Amino acid sequence: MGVTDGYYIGRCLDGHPDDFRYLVRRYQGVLLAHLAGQLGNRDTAEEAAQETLVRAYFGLERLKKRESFFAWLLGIANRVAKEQRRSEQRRRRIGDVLSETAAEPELSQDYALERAIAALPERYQQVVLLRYYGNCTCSQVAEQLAMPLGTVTKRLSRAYAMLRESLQQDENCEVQK
Amino acid sequence: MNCEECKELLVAYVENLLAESQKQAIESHLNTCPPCRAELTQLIALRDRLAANGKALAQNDLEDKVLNRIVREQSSKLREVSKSNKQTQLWRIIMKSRITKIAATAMVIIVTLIGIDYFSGSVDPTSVAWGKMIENMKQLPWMHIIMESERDGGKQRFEVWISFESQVCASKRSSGEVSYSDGQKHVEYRYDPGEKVIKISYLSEDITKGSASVLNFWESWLKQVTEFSTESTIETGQYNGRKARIYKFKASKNEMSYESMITVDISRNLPVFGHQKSFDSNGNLIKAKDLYFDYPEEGPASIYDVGAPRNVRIIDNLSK
Repeated sequence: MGVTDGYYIGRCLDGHPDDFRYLVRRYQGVLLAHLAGQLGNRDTAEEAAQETLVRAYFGLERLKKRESFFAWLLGIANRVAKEQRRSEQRRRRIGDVLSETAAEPELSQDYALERAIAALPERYQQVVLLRYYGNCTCSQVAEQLAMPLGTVTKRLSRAYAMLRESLQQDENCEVQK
Repeated sequence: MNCEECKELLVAYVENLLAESQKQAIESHLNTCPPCRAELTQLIALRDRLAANGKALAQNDLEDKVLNRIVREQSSKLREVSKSNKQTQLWRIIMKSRITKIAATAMVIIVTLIGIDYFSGSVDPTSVAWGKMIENMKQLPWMHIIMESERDGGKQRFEVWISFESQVCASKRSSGEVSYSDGQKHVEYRYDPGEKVIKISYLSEDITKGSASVLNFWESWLKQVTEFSTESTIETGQYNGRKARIYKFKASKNEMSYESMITVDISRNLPVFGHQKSFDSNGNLIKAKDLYFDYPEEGPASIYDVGAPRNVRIIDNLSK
């Protein structure tokens, strides 16, 4: 992974807000995938990812374990997604009252896959997100999550199986429709 | 190898993590086992699907959007904190650029030393004496400040060279980061110890204007902070065998209290040493800072003089 999250966090807290850029670069893909899976709509996911990163920046001082930045970030993202869903529901209710026909939200490119990832238990989800959306090798994932390489491949293996199962179910539903 | 063993290692195989012998064992099993081959094909298809989606999402560029929002929200937070609009404007100018940020850091150190915690706090209304000192500092070829701070047992060192005449600002931190900004040539060099590279970038005109009048910022700050009151004393003493005037300040804010002192060489009318301590509500020491000032005839002529290693890669963003 090279430069650690902790290093950049230290720099930000040391008066170099510009260095937050590197953390954005590192985790934007992860966040977009994670949020798109929960929210469905591509634009909403992007908005939520921005909101998550901005909140994270202003909360850096409160982060006790810098090495847990990634898990902490996902926690913020989950809260943001929850808020977004709530406000979306409110908007819809108002929309119903006004009988507006809202434009269909634009789904992200592979919503089925993102939704399947979002449904994974956290420990499997983290491995998949870092590997494919955080652009990490398996060794980097192991380093980042402080676990042996063997555990990463085992989790990845289990995650693959769960993803396949859930994608399969999805396809079956589509066929039944 | 049987099917179960093969399936267990399949992900590691796809990820190219297996030793040569295991790899061969898997491959020979795959050659004879159609179900495992089908499993591998599905695995690869899913991996490619994940990778393609990952790539597509990586094309989104959130960097600028996020950083712009941070700057906007920071400004609005500062606006809330600051009662005076003028102070916010000043802060915005400072935060706009790295060179003024560096210079401002030096200035903020001095200002905090005399008992001011960013936007509130206090200073002794001896601003005439301070004003004279500022005039004096402006005339000097170089100003060199070393700040050593201690907090939670960790020590930090920050060193800065400022030349108002040649518009150069250079700094070095204990983290290993070194920077050198030349306002006349509009160039900034920055060594990043994490990436082990020196980056060269353009300094815009606005920035150099800011750096040229860096001490004016200090004047403005002092002017603003004289509106607040403080407990202060002035004593006469010695520093390194020379006659010195010692300013002592006490301030408190949000249950924190600060004790500061700054020693001024009387014959040159320049600050030479400073110290600041912050305490929590129970009187426990939270943070201590020492500052050493000197005024050399010559300053660093390049980033290497400040301490950047010579054998690292240079990324020249100027020619882009």
